[in-house]
Amino acid sequence: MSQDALLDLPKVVMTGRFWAGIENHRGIVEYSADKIRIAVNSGEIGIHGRNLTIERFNRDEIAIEGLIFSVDFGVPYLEEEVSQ
Amino acid sequence: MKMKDLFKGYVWICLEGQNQQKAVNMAMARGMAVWDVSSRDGARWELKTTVEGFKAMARLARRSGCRARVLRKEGMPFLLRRLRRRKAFVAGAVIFCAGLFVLSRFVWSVDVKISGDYDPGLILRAAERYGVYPGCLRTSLNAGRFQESMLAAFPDMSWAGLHFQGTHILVEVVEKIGESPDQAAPGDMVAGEAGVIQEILVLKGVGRVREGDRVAAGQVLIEGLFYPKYKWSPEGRLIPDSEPSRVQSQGIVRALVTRESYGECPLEEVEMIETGKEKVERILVVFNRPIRLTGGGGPDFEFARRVSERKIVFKGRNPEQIIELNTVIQKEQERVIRSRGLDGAYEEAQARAFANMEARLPDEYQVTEKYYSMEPSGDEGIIKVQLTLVTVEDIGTR
Repeated sequence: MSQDALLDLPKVVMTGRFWAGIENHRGIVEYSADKIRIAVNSGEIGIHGRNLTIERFNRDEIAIEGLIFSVDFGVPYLEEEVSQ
Repeated sequence: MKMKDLFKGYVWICLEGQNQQKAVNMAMARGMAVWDVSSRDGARWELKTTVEGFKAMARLARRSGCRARVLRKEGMPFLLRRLRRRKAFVAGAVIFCAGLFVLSRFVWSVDVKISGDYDPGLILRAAERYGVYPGCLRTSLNAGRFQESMLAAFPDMSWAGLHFQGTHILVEVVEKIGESPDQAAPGDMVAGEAGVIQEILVLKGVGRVREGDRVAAGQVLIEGLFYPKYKWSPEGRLIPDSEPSRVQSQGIVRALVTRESYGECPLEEVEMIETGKEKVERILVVFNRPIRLTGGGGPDFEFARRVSERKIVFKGRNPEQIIELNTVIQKEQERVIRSRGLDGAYEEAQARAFANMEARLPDEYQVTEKYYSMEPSGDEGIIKVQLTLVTVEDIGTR
């Protein structure tokens, strides 16, 4: 069984810098054309870019289109992980 | 968005206020389909959802502290509802489609593509006789039947076909390739050039010359006669025993042919070289009345080459009703005296002599001898050269 399904970890798939798909998410935390924050089991995933739109949004997957500059896992999550 | 959303219809809504993400997350948790979410500033979200999902989304939005507003309703049910109110438009669209369908059943134009020596007008008239004409029903045409009719009408036609290109029909006809009746007619093979026979191979007919014979142009080489029966003579030779019938003579007769040609070249030649300067004059001719548009001023060049272009702008039914744009370009030239020298003039005269000869040579020949000799030209400034060319070639013609 794959790790993402076993541990309920997010799985991020990107096609170039114009499309990203995130599986095993928990919902949208923040959304604007420049930034999207997605809640995942172990914190957040932040996507920064320009003209970002949510192409598809359901329980299994969230698909994002636009010009993506960066993808990060959020600072609070990182600090927590380091302290552990 | 899936095809079923198009058929069932969907709503394009906007969420205004705060906590839109909460409403969308709750919608997702309830299994509602949401797609194409966009937002410019984060305060106003635009998204698409199903018709059933809209009411639930409005409720969830109220609970989250924002407001849902319908921007557009799209899909089949809404389109049909709109069309129900526009009966004349629907009727017009139906009539248009029906008209287009009916009109596309007919042939609107017929063109002809000919491979061979036929008059296009004649082919078009014949095609019209066999049912292919502008206005005929496309379904009534049968390519096989058309070909049969055309081949019966034109015995020298090898193929006739119809190409359907929408409402346009291309009639294609191909002429038979091979001997025309005239070429197949009985006849003798005669010498096209004077020469000395090197080789004779008679395929049909009776040979009248032998190897080594000197023949003149027009002399019979192979006579188109055929003897069906032969008998042995008392001397032990085969001799004809019946009246001959006329056939088309066939065979190969190769002979040595000698040709001469001359070429001249002066030691000094005057050449006109273009300087690059030019004057352009444009004249608009309206119903035979010239109107100068540009150019025409200043003195003419001392030496110039004139290039004229004529472009028809409008052409009426009457030959006088014509508007054309005439462009005359004068390209200035300069006289240059070119001195070739003795060797250069000799080489040029050789080249000219061969060029004069080349036009008289057949397609296939084999050169056995080729030599140049100086000839007195009668003018000290001109070099005259004679070219003698001996070739082996097939001299038989009909």
